[in-house]
Amino acid sequence: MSTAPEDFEQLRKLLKLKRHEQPPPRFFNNFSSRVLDGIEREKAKTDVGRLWEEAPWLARFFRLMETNALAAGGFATAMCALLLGGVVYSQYMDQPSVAIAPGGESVMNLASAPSASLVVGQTGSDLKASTNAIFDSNVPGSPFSSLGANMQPVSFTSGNGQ
Amino acid sequence: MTDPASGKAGEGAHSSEPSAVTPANPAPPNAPVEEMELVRRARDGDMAAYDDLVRRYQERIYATVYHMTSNHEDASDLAQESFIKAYQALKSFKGGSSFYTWIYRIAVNKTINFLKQRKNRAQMSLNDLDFNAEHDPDLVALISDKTPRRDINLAELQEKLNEAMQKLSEHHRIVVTLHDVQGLSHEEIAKIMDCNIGTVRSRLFYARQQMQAYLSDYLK
Repeated sequence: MSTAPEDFEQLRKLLKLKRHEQPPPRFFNNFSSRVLDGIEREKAKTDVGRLWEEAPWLARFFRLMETNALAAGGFATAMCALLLGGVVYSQYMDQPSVAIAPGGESVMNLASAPSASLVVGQTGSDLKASTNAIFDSNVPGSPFSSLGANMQPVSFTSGNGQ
Repeated sequence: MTDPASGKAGEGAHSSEPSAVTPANPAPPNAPVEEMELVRRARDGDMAAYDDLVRRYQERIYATVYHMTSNHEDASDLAQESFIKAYQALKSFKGGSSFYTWIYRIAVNKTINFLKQRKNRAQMSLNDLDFNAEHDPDLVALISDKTPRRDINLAELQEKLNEAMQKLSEHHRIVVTLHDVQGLSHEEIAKIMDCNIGTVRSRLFYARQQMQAYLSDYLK
């Protein structure tokens, strides 16, 4: 068996033709940027893969959503209901909540009132603020006054200073 | 063949037979030092350094893969994937070989695996010949009136040559590509393919014999 190079001289000359095969013009101009983009894509994939590893329940959840239309529909409905509930609740919270006291008077909710309790008169012109208890029997419309009960301030003193 | 990411091969050097498809970006004499610095920076996440490495070797890697596959689209994808894989495995690159040898090994292994999967659906998508091909004296002689096939043109010859290449096994084709087309030495090929020089020589001889038989009409 001879491996002398001259045996294949013609073939080697012919193989030189391969060297003249060139890719389309400007192919290499953005080759490296395509490589770097690919590296970034692979990095992003790896990050997602790591997330699945750290939270397998999330992977199972998404798999369920992909494979079970009923579950996906139920989840979507629940999310819509939650969204609507949130919208309605936020609108409700934006309005000052006013409770109507017996006798036609309204008492503002303590939660939305300033630190002192505020009693609002029927006409709106006779507003009076007080730091006394809300259920003062002297205030018209109080449940105590309708019962005919009268509240008096009471002081307790211990006989032996106890 | 061992895992290319292990970087086991020794120092690579350029052959005295430079390939016409690859000399656009030859490595300077102080390349290994500068190259190792680029590798170190790329390993630390410096993408500009890796961009520099890609630009250095993109043409040679593409050409090798292209001559193996005879398909531009496959070569483009495989060359890109080789560089991406090399970046991902950069942490395991110990510097026992040059980056050049290491990236070559990754590309060759990736291409061989691809060709094994593609076996039954090989389809050529050849690149155009450059202007110089028509003026190459060796090629002019091959299609001159001394050739029995007087009516043949370069494009036909190119197709026939690529068909002959595709008839070789992957390991024989890579040896012909790296030596006769790319101009790498037997030693370099042995390092890239992780085999001894004798194996490279015998594979080259067998591959040439096969090609010579297939292209006999064009080589008289």
